Amino acid sequence: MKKNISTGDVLIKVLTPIVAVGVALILGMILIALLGKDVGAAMGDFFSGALGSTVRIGDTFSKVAPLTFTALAFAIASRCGLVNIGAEGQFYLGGIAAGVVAIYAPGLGIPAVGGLVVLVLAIIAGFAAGGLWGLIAGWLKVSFGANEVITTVMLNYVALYLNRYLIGYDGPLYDGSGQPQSAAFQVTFPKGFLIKGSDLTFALVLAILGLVFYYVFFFQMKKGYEMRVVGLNPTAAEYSGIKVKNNALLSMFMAGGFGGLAGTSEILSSQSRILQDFSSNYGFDGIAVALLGQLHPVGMGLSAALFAVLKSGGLAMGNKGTVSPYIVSVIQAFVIILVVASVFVQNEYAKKKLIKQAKAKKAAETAEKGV
Amino acid sequence: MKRKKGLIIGIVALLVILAVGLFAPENISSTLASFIAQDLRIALPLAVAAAGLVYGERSGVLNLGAEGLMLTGALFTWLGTSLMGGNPWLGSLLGMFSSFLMALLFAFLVITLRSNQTVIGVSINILALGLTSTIYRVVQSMEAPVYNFPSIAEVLSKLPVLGPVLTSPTETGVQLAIAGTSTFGNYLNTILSQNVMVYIGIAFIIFLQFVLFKTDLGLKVRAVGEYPKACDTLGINVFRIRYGAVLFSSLLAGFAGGLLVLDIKSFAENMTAGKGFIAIAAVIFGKYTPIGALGASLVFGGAQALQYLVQAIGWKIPGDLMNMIPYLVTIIALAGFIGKTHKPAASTIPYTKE
Amino acid sequence: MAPILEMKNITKQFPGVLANDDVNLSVEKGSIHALMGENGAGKSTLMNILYGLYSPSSGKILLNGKEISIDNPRDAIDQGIGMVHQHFMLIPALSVIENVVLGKKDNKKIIDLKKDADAFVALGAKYNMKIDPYALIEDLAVGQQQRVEILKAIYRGAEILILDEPTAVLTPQEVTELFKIMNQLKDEGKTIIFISHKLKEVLTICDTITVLRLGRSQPSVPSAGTTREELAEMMVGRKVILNVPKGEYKPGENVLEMNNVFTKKGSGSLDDVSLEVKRGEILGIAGVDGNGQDALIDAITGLTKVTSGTVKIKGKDITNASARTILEQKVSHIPADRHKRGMVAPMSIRENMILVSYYKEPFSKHGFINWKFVNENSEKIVEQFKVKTPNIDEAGGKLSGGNQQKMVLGRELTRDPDLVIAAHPVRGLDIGATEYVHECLIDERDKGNAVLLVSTELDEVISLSDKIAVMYEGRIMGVLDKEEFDITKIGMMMAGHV
Repeated sequence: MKKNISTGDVLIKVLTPIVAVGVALILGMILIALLGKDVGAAMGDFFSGALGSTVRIGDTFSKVAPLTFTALAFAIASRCGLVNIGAEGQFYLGGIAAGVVAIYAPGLGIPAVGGLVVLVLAIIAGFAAGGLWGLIAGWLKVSFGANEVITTVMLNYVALYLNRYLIGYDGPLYDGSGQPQSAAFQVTFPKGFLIKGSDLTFALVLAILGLVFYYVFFFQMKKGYEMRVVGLNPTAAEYSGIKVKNNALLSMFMAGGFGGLAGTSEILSSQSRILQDFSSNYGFDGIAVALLGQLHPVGMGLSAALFAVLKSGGLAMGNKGTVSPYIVSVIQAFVIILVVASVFVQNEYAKKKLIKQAKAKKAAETAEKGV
Repeated sequence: MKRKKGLIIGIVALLVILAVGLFAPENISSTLASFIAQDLRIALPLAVAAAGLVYGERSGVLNLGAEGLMLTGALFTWLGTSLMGGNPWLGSLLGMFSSFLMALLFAFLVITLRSNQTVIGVSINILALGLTSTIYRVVQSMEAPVYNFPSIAEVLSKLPVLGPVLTSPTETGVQLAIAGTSTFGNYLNTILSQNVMVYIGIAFIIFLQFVLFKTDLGLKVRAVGEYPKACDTLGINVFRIRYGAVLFSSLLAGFAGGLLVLDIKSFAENMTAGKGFIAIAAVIFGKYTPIGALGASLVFGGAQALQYLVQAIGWKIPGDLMNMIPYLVTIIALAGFIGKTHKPAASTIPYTKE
Repeated sequence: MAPILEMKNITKQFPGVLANDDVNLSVEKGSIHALMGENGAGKSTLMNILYGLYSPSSGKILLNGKEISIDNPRDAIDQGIGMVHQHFMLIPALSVIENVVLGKKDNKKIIDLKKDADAFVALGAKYNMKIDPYALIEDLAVGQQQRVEILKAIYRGAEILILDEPTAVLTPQEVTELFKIMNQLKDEGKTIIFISHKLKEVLTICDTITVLRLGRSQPSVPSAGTTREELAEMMVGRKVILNVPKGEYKPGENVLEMNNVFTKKGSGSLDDVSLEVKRGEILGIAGVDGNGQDALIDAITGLTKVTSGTVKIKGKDITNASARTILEQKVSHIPADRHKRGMVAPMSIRENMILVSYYKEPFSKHGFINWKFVNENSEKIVEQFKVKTPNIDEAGGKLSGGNQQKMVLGRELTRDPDLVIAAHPVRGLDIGATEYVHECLIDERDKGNAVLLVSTELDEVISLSDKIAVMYEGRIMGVLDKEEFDITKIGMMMAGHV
């Protein structure tokens, strides 16, 4: 039997996100122009900020890891039929937990706890904290049927204020400096990975490993298969003896865990202590990254790279004062909308094709009869 | 009847409030009065947005982009009011119009193109956050004084015969005539001295309840959210009803966003801070009825007003922890009550006409 | 007399399916006109065109000799056409009267339900129907819901009434009641189009018959003087074998045993059910839809909680065991709604083939799925069960209904079952696929396995089963041996009479 996936279908799958990004960028530029700004200057700031030098490129790609992890946080839940809008909160929890380990673990005086061990502990702590935060929403969904979109958004705000409290003047992590911040980390991910002098760290490797894990788990392992069945048809899952609730809980824990890893990788790569509002919207960026990548591991990796450029270029524009970095959110939103809406266009196209085929067949039949 | 239960709770709450005002010592009654006043003030935008969202939900569209609509409405109400010499009425119109345009995009995507409502809703929020923040940075400098809607006393004082009876002048303006008459008068005055929009809003929500349950249009909206195919076979245009419900609710969401602006007389980036989602929770908690949503909003508003109460009592709780409470209460309300309400059967399912 | 309604040269093309192909239909005023055909012959499509739900690709509709255009149901209603759909178009959460007035053109802005309720009750009384106008639809029995549907159409001024498979959900006795109402409507001069695939009913009640086959209409015939055999041949296009050949009945030991089983109270819950199914036996469950058949299957397969009583498979007590434990007792389940339960539509055929056994060796090892084995096995099943597909990577949802059912059947029967539970196994299938599925089930029986067949098609149950148990309101009204199979008797039991 030969593979019958037509090249046309593959082409559409690949072209859709590219067109979406292109159109979204154009819309973004139109907006900049409408606001009375110089599009050329803005673009100049954007590209020199994101890709202007080797070091800049390294800095830009340091954002790939947190973006990939928050994309995984969305994608893993999505594969199980859940919508995890809570990566932002999971990011905070993961960052806080990893930060606490990085501040206090080296001081425990256990000789075995060297730099690398601390980092491993921090990663585990970050994953666990984010995972448990995700699990709360999962539990609320499974036990009470509470809409996970609303609960994860609410938990984002709780996490935000929790972080502010912990490092605030009354908080247990406050360092007494007069600024709301924690003490400095004793250990962080070493910078200058691959590109000397840049902020890039080996968190990038962790992110790629995360994508590999995602692929293996969902497409090679039975547990991942089970989770996909639950996501696509929970009734069929029950019929075949799969425990729907357990899968939902596990997927929210894993999704939250990856959200936590995003916070871990960001805080231990780009920051030296736990600060207020340290996420800069990574949780929501992840949604766009995952959807643009069509929940495919390679696609998500590529779109994480694209969004790293967008994000860092956007920040550069913001710093130069030309345009608010929030313009990136606008582009992101258009990307999601265009990708999601393209499904309709594809379906209509497929339907039209079927009707055309049927008509051609009918015409051929009548012609035959005529002869 | 189940619906009566909410009514009974409401009446009991009113009686308790009256009794406290009449019989409690002044320090307690004044604390309670300011708590209630704060609650009403905070609940109003939530209730207005939620009452509108009830219509969308009843027609089978869950608009998770409500947050974005409110935020858009907030920015443009601020902008409109600033540009129109501080006039909140004209400003609100612009806010409603901006939210309407956003909702038009949402409706086209989820109703006509049948896209996933959740994902599109979320992206509308991201879009609104990006747009409002980007635009705000540019127009920030246009800031001009912004005025809120007049207070009830100001409006009543202008009534021909009744004006002087119901209100009394003060050095700076007018107040309700009951102020200063007695402890109870002060108590009532604190509660009742609201922005006129609180009164209009509550009246309008009651009107929305009537339309939903007693009119032909309301029946159609409810039916479309339950079984759109059946409505189609009866010659009801499902798409038109859904568009109508979503767009109507967007007007209220935009207006509600504007109320947030008028309340603090300025705009701030992401100032809705989850209020759109809380409004959706209020719809569910309020059993998909406008009056229920109002009740739910008062509960959520109360959770936020708690910080004033805590301050008044003199407890020292870090502000950041207090700020979490409305979100936590929303989660608890969702978890505790969701299974006990009838969700429209066709909620979030796009309708495909064959 | 001139025909009240004519449909001329109607063609309807769906993506991939030509549902109506140059169909002609002419209906006399004041007659009951049958529209017959197998599943998928295009009956519902044709009527949905008449009712304005579909627009035809070509063709025209004439009412009283004048060409009319019907673009949507509103036009149809305005022209006096009413339709009672097979799946009722009633909103369960609303009351009867709210459903009746919903979308009515002359409604006032603020509706006065009382006025309509009084008029509606009066209309019902005319046809001897008593209905509480303020009851919620979800609280009504199916037969009552159908009456609401019929009255609703008449209340809106229907002169031509389309009834789509109205008897499918009724007991034989309720069918008699329905026929009385139909005759009364006919006497008042109303015209009825009766869609059915049941030969006997059509010959009993109708004046004229039009048969559709593969989307094309056959010339109409008067019902007087036409035989069942002739009609059947018109429908299928060849002589039909009404009896399926099978081996001698040699029952062995019990495979399934249920003793006094109750399930959680609710509509269609089990009420003291005791049953047994033996090796080499097909036990048919007859009954009107919604009388506990679903709960029966769910109780056996572990999908609903048994509140008291025991369920045993091959002597082992599996009451309230998990679904997986039960399936592992060599139980195969061909579910009623394959789209909902039996398959995962967006997944490929090979992924669907392992839905029940993915976790076991050799399908997976050490937590990983053994795709090499899975692929080979899927290819084998696809070939053995003649699933028509380009390859095993095709999404299950893209297959035709018959091929989907073959896929499910193949998966379930290649698991080497001792007990096969088949619920409405031929629902929505064409004659070819139906015969194939029936052969497979009989094959299982002849191999010495136990088969539990649940179906609302009485003919199917009677022709396949060795014994029949009749269900009514969650109870087993009785178990009949082959020699006791009698349609009147079964019908009485289906309606709750012993």
